[in-house]
Formats: sequence, structure tokens, C-alpha cells
Amino acid sequence: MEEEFVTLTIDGIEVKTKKGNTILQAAQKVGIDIPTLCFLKEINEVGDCRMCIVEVEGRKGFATSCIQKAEEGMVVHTHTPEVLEARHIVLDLILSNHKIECLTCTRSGNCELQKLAEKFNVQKIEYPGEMVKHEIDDKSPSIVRDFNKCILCRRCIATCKNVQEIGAIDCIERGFESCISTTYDNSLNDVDCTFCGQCIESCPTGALHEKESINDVWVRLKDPETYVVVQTAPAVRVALGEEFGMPIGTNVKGKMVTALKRMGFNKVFDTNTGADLTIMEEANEFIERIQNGGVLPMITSCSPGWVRFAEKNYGELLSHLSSCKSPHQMFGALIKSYFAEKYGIDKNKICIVSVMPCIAKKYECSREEMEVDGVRDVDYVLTTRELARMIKQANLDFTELEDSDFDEPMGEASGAGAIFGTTGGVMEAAIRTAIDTLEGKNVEQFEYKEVRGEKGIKETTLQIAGIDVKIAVVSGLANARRIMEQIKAGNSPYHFVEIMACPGGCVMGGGQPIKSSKVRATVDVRKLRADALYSIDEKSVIRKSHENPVMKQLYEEFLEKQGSHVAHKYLHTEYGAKEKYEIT
Amino acid sequence: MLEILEKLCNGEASEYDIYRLEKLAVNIKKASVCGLGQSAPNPVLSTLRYFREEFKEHAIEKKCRTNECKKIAKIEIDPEKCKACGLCQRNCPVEAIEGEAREKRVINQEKCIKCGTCIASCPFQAIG
Repeated sequence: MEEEFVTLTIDGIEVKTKKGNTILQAAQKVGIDIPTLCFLKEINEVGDCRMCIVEVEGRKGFATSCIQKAEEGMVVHTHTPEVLEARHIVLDLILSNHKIECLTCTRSGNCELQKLAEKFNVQKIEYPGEMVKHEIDDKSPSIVRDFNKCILCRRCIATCKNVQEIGAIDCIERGFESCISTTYDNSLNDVDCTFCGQCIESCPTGALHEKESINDVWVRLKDPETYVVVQTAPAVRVALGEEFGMPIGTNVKGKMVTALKRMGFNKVFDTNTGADLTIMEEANEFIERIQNGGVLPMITSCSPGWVRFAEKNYGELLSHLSSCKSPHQMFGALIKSYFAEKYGIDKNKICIVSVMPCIAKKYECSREEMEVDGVRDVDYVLTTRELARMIKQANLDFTELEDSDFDEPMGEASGAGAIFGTTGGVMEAAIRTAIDTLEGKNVEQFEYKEVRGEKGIKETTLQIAGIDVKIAVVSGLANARRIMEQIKAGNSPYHFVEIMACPGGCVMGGGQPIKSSKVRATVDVRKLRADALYSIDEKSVIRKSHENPVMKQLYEEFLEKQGSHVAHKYLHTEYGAKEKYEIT
Repeated sequence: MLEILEKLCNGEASEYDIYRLEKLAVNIKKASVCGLGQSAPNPVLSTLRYFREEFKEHAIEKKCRTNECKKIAKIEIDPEKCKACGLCQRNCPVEAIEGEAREKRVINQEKCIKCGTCIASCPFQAIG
């Protein structure tokens, strides 16, 4: 069918646009900037905040350009004095109920409200008056909610309800008392929130942010008694640069390692190596399940948001989850055992800090099971954003830093470990190892393009050693729910499923640098970051986890063999159904 | 809007507040999503249209013509009209009206709570 177009005039410029496009889209096409606030492309298009109002000739009142469809012959004015004044008032009214503490706010400098205030030359609060007061909710190990800074744009609600299909938060109360909260205003910790952190990524202000561990880490760094080891996840290196003005998808591994060393960490390790280890164990578990008639499909367990989701919603299906801990937990456990013994360091004096693109990892590292013989696997988890803040605190000129390499002996990683950071990566890495093992030979194929890309559910069938192995790669909890319902109904065709809680995988995790709605509408952030990871993989000499010499050494010296008793003690865990929040 | 109106009633507003109020009302009317928002400012806008003088009096002279705004209302007895009957004094709930029998009465502004009882009780319409 041929596409229909409409022609309209915006600020005197004739614009031809697809039928069904909004005025905002049409305006963007010709470079006319209309400010927005509640708008989040394809997620929250509700016209709530009234920031994007424009004048349409012949129409009473203003139109909201983010939802108003362009019509044939429409004459639109986006910057008349009346429109500007109305927008200014809208902003004034939002500001009149916003706790303004920009100087100490984590979002200062990256706040959409602050940017608008600057743009509109707001020099005073025009309508000061009564403000709604809310308690800060910092009970959960991952997310802090400060509703005194909330502007009721509802981007978080839309993300939670429509993208992830969790619906942990919604608007409660009415009128002036309206606020975004959980059922009966409970703490996020006590409801069905999975701590994926996508709400934080969508928040335009500082109303939602991660629970910081920065100060704790500084304290440990200053303590000469503590041996502080840091490890960084694959997705961190391709996003950290953004916080320092570098283009999206720049690989800043070298600079990041230098920065961490300068900040005083005793050892800087690569979680990619942990990822390789996860593949060794996970691929082995998968092979065992296939050969011995274990529970299938087997589902990956690297994403703690997903694990919490499964425990809350599908307690009866937890045997499908791989018993492997996530890479950073495995790696933490190894550092405090193998590495500590080898180098004669007291394991109780080692502090492991993981830099992750994730806020659910903060929750994961606080889980009771995540310890061996009473020693915590990982002590602190920092997000990519927190690391950026620490680098700034340390006064390092990040973009000018020279490159350096991860520390030995556990600094070497394969390309398979690197792609863990994007959706499909774990599957691809696991397949590379599983194929070699099952076929008993070195298979020359590295790339499995069917599992790459942005689709929420990707599936394919592979011929491995005479068996048709059906695999699926899932990202986003809404899609995860679909797969789980299939399994529950008993008609899941798959053998192996990778699930990541965040749409797009770790590169789009809840701990990554926050992108404004404008950037999200115009740039495919996921693709840029993921491509950077794939290019690391392509450039790697070793592209299969089991070929990584560090793995060989680890198994020879410590872990004996895949799935051994020692491996289970340090690298595996178990899950338990968690109570779902019920209204009583 | 409510807060600015309250400021005006309390005699704490300036002329700039009237400007702010009008700007706010006009724009809420134009920019609101729903009919409620579009019509909520109407009472403000129509009173501004027909009684702007009174708004100004509230802001500049801190005066309320009708004495409805209790904080700035000033109830006085017109000595020309007062016949010294004492009815107002008897009815005043806070004993704010002073004066001896057969004398014209005076309201003690310090004590007066602007309740209006005296106005209602005066048979000669001498109070206002």
C-alpha cells in the first residue's frame, strides 16, 4: 500500500510528512525544536505536561504537538509570544512544586527540567506557594524515590507498565495530592518491583535514582588495611565515556582502567573474564541437561532483575533457571578464594567493588545466598553513573587519560565475554562453547546473527551434533512473561533461552548514563553501544570462552572441572520463590 | 491562583500579583487539557474584567469595599448617622464597641473581629 502524506505549514515552512505523524515529528524533520518534558518516544505519548503546546490556526486553545496528528493544510505556529508565555507559565507551575536543590542533586547537569529552566531563562520561582511533601523512600537496596522532585510526567509509570509490564507504580491520590507511588504507598522494596531501573532511565529529573555506594567505596579505598579490588562489566566501557561528553558507543576501556588505578584500587579486573567463567559453567550445565534429560528449556540467570521477576511471578518454574551465579558474583567469589590464596591475601580484608550497568546488581549482591563460607562474594556495586561521578570527584581529566590494561592474572577475557553486555550476547557466547564441546571439534563459526538485534524475542534453530537445538533470546520483562507463560502452559518449543530484564540487554541497563528523551527519540542508543561491544569481540584474538588461557589455568589450579563440587560451591547458587505483593 | 487571591484578601499582595494572577488565569484557560482546566480560571477572569478597580484597591490601598475580606476590612460607625442607641454595643460578641450611654459609639479596631453583627443590628445603617 502506498503511504499517504499530508502537507502542513509550520512557522511558515511547508512540511510534507507521513499521515499519522504528529506535529512534533513534522517539526523535527525541518529542524524546528519544540520543547518537551513528559514525551518519551513510543513509551509515553500522553500530552500531559503541556510543554510542547503550539498554536494551530483556527483552533480554540493550544494543541499539544507531541500527540496532535498533523493534518492536511494545518497552519502551525510554534514560537509566537502567546505560546512562549504559556509554556513559560507551564514551566513556572511545575517549578512551583519542585524541590529545587540542584546543587546537591544527582541529576544536576543532566536534568531535563533544569535544561528547560535554563532555556526559558527562569531567574526566580514565579509562583512560590504550598508544596506537596513526601517522605523519601530509600528502603530498597537499589532505588531511591524522592517525590519532592517529581513533576508527574508519568514516564516511569509508562515504562514500568507498558514496556516491562510490571506496573509496580502508578498515580495515587487526586488533585494537588497526586503522586506517583506504589499500592497503598508502600516502599518499592515491598511490592513487585524487580529493580530493573528502567524507571530511572526514563525520569527527566532527580526524583528517581540509584542508592549510591560512592561514599562507602571511598572509605574502603582510604583504609590501608583493605585490599580493594574492582571489576567492570562489559557494558560499562562502551557507555562511561558518554558522561564525559564522548560519543555514544565509544569504547573507553583503557581510560577507565587508568582512572580506576589512579583512584587507588589495588587491582582492576575485567568482569568479561567472569563472563567467560559463567559460559564455561552455563554451557556445561546446558549440555548436561540436554544429555541427561534435565529440565528444559534452560534459562540464563545473569540478569538479577529477571531473576527477581521469576522468583516473584513464576516460583514453580525456577528449576528452569541456570544455577550459575551472574558473572560478577562468580568472579567476586573467585577473587576471595583462588586469588586470595594464591597471593596470600586475607580474604576477609578484600573488598570487591563491581562497576555494573545495572541497579538490580546492588540488590543481587545483598542477597543472602551470595556468599561462600560467610564471606560475601561482592561488597559493593557501583553503577556506570556512579563511577563517572567518582572519576569527577577524583579530579581526573577523563578524556585526556592514557590507556592501560586490566591487571593480571585475571585480566584476560575472550570476545565472548565482551558481548555479554548486549541482548543475545550470552546466548552467542554459550553457543560458541557448547557447539565445540558437543561436536567435539573446533567449529569455525563465531557469529550467530539471528540472536543479534533489537527485537524483544529472537529465535532460531541450530543443528548441533545431530540435535535440533531451538534457542530464544529475550530482552525486556514483558517479553520474558510471554516466554514464561508458554513454559507454564507446557508448550515451549525451546531448549535454551536467554533472558535479560532490560530491553536491549545490559547496554541499556538501569545503571547506564541517562539519555534525554530527545536523544532517545533520534538516536538508536542501544545499537551504538551494542555495536561497540561486537567490535571488541571482532577484534579479539580469542573469541571463545573455553579457549581463554585464564579459564584453563583456573580449572587446572582450582576448580578441577566444569560443574565440579568446588565449582558448585563458589559459582552456583539457588533460587527461592518470593512472595508476590497481595492486597490484604 | 488561590494563593494569590488569598494574598489579595489578606492585604499582602502588590499590583504585580494582579498581573501574575491574570497571566496565570489566561494561560491555564488556553493550555489546559480538559474542560475543567479550561473553565476553572473563568471566575477569576470575569471578576477581573468587571471589578478590576476593587482588585487594585485590595493591592494598593489594602482596602476591601464590602468588608468581606476580614483581614483588611475596617468597620466604622458613621458619627453623623449614629443615634447613640447602644444596640450595636449590646450585640457585639467581643465587646469591641466603646462609649457611654447616650453617647455616640466608636469601634475599637484592635478588638474588632469584623463579624458584622453590629452592621446587622444598627437600625440607622450607621455602621459599615
